[in-house]
Amino acid sequence: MLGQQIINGLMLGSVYALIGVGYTLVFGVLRMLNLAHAYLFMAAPFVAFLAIKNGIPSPVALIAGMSVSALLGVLLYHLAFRPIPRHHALGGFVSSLSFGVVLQVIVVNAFGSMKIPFGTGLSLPDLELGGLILSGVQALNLVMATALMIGLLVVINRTRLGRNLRALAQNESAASLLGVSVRKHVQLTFLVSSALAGLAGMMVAERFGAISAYMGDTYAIKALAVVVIGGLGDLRGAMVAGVLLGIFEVLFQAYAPPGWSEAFVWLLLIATFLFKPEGIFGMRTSRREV
Amino acid sequence: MNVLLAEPVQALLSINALLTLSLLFPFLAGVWSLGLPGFMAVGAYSSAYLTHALGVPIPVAIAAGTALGAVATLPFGLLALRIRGIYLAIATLAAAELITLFFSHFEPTGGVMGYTGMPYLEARWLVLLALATLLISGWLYHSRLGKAMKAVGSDPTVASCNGINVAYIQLMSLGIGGAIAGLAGACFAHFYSFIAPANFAFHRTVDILMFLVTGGLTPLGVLIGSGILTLLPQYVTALERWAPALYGVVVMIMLAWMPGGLIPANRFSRWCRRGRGMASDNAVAASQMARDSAPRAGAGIASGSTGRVR
Repeated sequence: MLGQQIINGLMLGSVYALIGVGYTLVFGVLRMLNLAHAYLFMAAPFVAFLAIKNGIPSPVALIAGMSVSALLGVLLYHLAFRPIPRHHALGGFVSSLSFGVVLQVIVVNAFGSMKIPFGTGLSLPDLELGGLILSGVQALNLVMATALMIGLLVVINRTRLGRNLRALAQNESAASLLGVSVRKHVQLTFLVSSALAGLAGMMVAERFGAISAYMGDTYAIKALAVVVIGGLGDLRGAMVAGVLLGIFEVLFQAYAPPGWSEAFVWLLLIATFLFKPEGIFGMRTSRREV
Repeated sequence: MNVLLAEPVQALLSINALLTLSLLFPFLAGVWSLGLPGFMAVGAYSSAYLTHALGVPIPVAIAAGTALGAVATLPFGLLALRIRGIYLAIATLAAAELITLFFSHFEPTGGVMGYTGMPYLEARWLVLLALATLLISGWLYHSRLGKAMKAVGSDPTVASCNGINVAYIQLMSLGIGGAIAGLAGACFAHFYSFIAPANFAFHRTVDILMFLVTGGLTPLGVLIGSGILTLLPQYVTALERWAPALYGVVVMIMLAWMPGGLIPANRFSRWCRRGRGMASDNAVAASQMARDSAPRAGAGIASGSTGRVR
């Protein structure tokens, strides 16, 4: 029973980790929170849903969902982040939120505000590991999420592109003086983080078998908690915090009175700010005042 | 004009204006607190409980709701003294979620199902209360305290060098914001006669932030921003379905072309300090504050803390 709960927690945790990584990537580069992230997370499964309804095979539909959310991410950067003065205290926060709300209203007006059944029709055999049942789709999701996150870590830490991004995160003007194209790299960051959000959205849609225009709302704020607990701008921290938070949440839901799992997340978030503001790995990022 | 005479529109306008005002003062002082739905819930639930369960008359209950809204900011104030900027926004968002979570599991006020049975208050009283609060805020904005808030918002270090007690001003601004949010909550409870935790969720913060960004960080800006955006969907009924998207587009355009809002804090700053954003608008207020405090404190900067604003 406990093992099964932990597997459920891992599933939820990998979703949190994927969303959190996207938040943290953008925050690391721009020092602005991208609150439209959760709405891109919601938009991707709708694209996949449309594609599947029109007879496109589901793996292609999933890739289409990811690509559309990636492109929306680039659009988001050009509409909601680039025109805003960098020192505007609320700039990125409010404008990205507005972009997300626009997306949400478009989805509500096109598909209605009710839940719509969602299925990819993928049939994979269930796995059984020592009495624990892991459905094929769950296993695929776990493998995909793990592979993507390891790949991302390798790219960020080992390649020239990753070095450029890290330089950008550390000091934008110095990086651009040394020949890092700021706009190109920021655009790329939005592309990758939004594609990850799209993937996470489709994982959630597949798991619950339903999509709705409001499915991103709860994940949006929870993923904020993940990013903060992991340390803003710290990729590794976001991954670990996401997985841990997912497991804790499922355990709390199973064994604690209702309401406590959410309260735990919020209290942990506030406690992190007060006592360990640099996150679980204690990476010393420059805490600029935004 | 007919739209303005409808009671629901009047009530919506007053509540939105009050809520936007409640964000104004903390933001002026650089305290980016998004705890507004929490304070609003405290005001609404306390006023509703006092009138319905204890039979307290409405005016007393509303006053109590306002006061409790201010009291509820104390824990947020402790956060504000230790965390800054966008980090504070996230932390207060979480704290507000904790408050609504408390009300959704608190049985005496109905939990998730909501709470009803409080006496009805006519919309014209709401309008009166909102107007009075706007007038008081306009006075407060130009008072010594308001100038001190702007100075703290633009640069806490410079402000404290000029003898301003930064922590006190930050707590004060948060408390004033909380009181106004509590008042708005009490008005909300008595006009709609039904409240549930879902009324105080994150989406309310989103709307109010949009009003404030469109209007600008001034009391007049608050009135105009919340007024225009609340009335827009009322006049063009075909737009009602798209209202939030419309807000979103308006806000994105405003942020790109008029980052200070329709009525910016310093109306000439747009031409003098192009493209540096709100923070530098407040720098003007800081120097103004320094000049103001000089004659009263005797020697101003030289005498340090004697010019302290209380």
